[in-house]
Amino acid sequence: MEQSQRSQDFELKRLEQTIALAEEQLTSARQKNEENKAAIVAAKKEMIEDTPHFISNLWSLENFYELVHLSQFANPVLGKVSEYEMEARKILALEKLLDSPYFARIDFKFEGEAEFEKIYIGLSSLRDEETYEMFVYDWRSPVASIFYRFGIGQAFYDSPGGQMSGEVALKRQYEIHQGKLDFFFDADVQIMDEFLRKLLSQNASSKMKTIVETIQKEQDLIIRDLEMDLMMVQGAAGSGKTSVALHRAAYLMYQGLADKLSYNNIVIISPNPLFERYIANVLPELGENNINSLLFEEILHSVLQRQQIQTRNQYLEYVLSSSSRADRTIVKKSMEFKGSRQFVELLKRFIADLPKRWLEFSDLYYDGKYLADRQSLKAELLKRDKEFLLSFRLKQLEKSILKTVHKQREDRLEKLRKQVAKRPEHTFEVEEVARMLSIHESTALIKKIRKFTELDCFELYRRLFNDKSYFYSLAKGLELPDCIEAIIDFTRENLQKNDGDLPFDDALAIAFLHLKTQGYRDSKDIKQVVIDEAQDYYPIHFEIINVLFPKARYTILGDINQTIGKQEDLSLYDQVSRILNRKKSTLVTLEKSFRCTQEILRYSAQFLDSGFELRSFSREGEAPAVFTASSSSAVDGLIVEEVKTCRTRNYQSIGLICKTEQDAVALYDRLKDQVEQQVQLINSNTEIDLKGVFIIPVYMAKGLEFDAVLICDVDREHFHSEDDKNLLYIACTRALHRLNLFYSGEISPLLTADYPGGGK
Amino acid sequence: MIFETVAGILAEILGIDDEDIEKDTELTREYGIKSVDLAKLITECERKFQITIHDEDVHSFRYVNDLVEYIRRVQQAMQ
Repeated sequence: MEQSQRSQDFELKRLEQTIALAEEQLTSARQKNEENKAAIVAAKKEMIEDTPHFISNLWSLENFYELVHLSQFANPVLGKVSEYEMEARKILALEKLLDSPYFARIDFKFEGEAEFEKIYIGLSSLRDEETYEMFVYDWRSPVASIFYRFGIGQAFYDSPGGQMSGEVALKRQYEIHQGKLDFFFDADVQIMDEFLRKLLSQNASSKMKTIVETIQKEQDLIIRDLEMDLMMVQGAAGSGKTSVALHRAAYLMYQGLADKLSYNNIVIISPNPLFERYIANVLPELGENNINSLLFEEILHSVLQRQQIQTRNQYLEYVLSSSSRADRTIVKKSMEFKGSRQFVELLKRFIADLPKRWLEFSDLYYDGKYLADRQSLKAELLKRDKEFLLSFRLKQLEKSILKTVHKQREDRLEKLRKQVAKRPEHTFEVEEVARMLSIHESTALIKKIRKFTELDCFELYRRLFNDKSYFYSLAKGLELPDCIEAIIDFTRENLQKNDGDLPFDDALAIAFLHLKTQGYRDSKDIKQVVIDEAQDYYPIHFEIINVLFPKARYTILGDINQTIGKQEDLSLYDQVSRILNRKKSTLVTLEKSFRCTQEILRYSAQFLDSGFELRSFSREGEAPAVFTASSSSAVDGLIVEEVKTCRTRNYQSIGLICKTEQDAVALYDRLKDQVEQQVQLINSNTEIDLKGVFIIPVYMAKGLEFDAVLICDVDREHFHSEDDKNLLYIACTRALHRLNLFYSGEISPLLTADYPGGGK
Repeated sequence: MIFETVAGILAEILGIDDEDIEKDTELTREYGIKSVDLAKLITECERKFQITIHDEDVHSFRYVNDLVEYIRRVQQAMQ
């Protein structure tokens, strides 16, 4: 890379100026915050001294003036607090900026202008408040998109004011650390690729990195899209799906600032808690602090108001490791069926049938007279507008019954008083005793009414499975699995048990019933939903999500080849799009893998169905190999050796991947004293920083990456089915640089013979 | 304010000190509150606060605070 001394000098000077400006702003922001802090403390003190601390009834008139008085003090405090928080965020951004203010520059000439403007791009913006000169543009600003999408020559970008065109004369990239310019180079596509290759060949740091410097054109189109209501991305392993999801969330935040979109309006649904921690560090890096990230389990807990629900990981562990093949099969088939479109349709029919068949209406009496008979109550409910949720219609019905009761209450009380007065023992407390009797009978009445106006979805669901002939009559015309009898029996037994966790699949179904009949209030303002690892979800998941976030726009990312315990194909995306039913939707494919070396990718491809293409970003490495030895302890020895080799090569993260948690625990017990460096077992409860040697079940490893991967137990017993093939694919594609496989006994039939040691 | 009033009424009915009534005092027999005491409490509250407490709602008052909140809501609805 040749650079003239002049541009070297220019860049050094520019960096110096930028840093000086940032330092100046940082000093003033810090000072301002100190002042704000002092002001808040003072204002709070004044408020405490001059106002009553406790206003017991904010709503009564006499206290209204107290409230007004209090608010005179409270409002400035609140203002100061939010100002303080804003400044605090600015300070954080400036501190980052001082370390590395920008990573790229483009020289762009707007159409009709004579001169090229130098546009520096970084993680956040920096502007000289006096001259209004932009020193650094946020990577998410409209003009920055040129950097990701165009080379030298004609270019354009969309801005709020319409399309802006012009010409790019220069693209330059920088490596700046701790405020020092390490190097820079002028980039065309080849050199950019070289730069990317260099970055990729570095060992994985402990956390997922931001990719703002290396966003590819296809990725950028997804990150910056604002057109689509439903954006679906099918991305190969290592294609940067998750990074794209996170950057998109950050971009939406940035765009949303103008529309008053706050972090409360964006939610990321992630598959497991480990993953959640893993991404936690990426978003603040990108500039946004508080995007809500949610596990699907958390949704179930809050909808069902029940803590004891089997988690997805517990379900997977059971399906992968249960010793009884018959149990395994039925659990899996049950999940497949209950997650399916057919079952969702059956549940919808069930809901429609509830008023006619499942609500226990009864004849109601009050004051010795007929209030309403069960037939007319049912008729009245059926008359009500079906657009409203069932629970709402029932509440209305209850209200109308009570209205009649209230009208008659005084007469009833009078009768009771007379009755009581006749009894000599109550002469002195006629009023109270009459009231007590009235309360008693009203309590009995309301309990009778609530038997049909309150819905117990768990109970209703249980009854659905208790009545087989009804179940089949509802399912008329729907395609049912062969083992439906067994599924019904199995479910009925599970629901009979009063202790223990509610099975994962039943929890989903009951949550669906609950949402469809009673709705959910808290999630209505969500405007953007990002879902990662979409291939793990069943139609019923998307149905639930759709009820929860009816007004949201969706970004859904997945890889149909990385399923666990199920099979999936491209029709997944058709289903998603049918369920969410958004006006504008699209499916984008990311084929190129940036994570693995060519050799690892080629090796992994054997586990894919033919016709699936994997394109690697050409980076070379060693070919994976399969190892075995005469005994299982000798294989353990080989594994220990391999870990040692990886250590000497300075690989930061080394993953030993097993099929199940059970296998992982067993391996951990065997190895923990043999490996010099500390080995960590990762299970659902572990907090981690991915640096070191880890043993992990494959379903937990999804979405993560390691410098070196060792896949253990690749024998016939562990890996033989179609589902196992997917597991091997996931495990292999976790590796960045080095991949080796180990087994004892008979090799898995899924491994081909073309590789050293493979399929002998 | 509502709580203090309710506590005062209840204390008088039971013949105990106001301070012995707390927000989480249970309105049950175990706490020495009989059905008829509860009926008295309800009637008195209606009179004091000039509101109607529906008899079918009374079973949901498990703690003193439940009644306090109910009264608060009724007052709000009236405004």
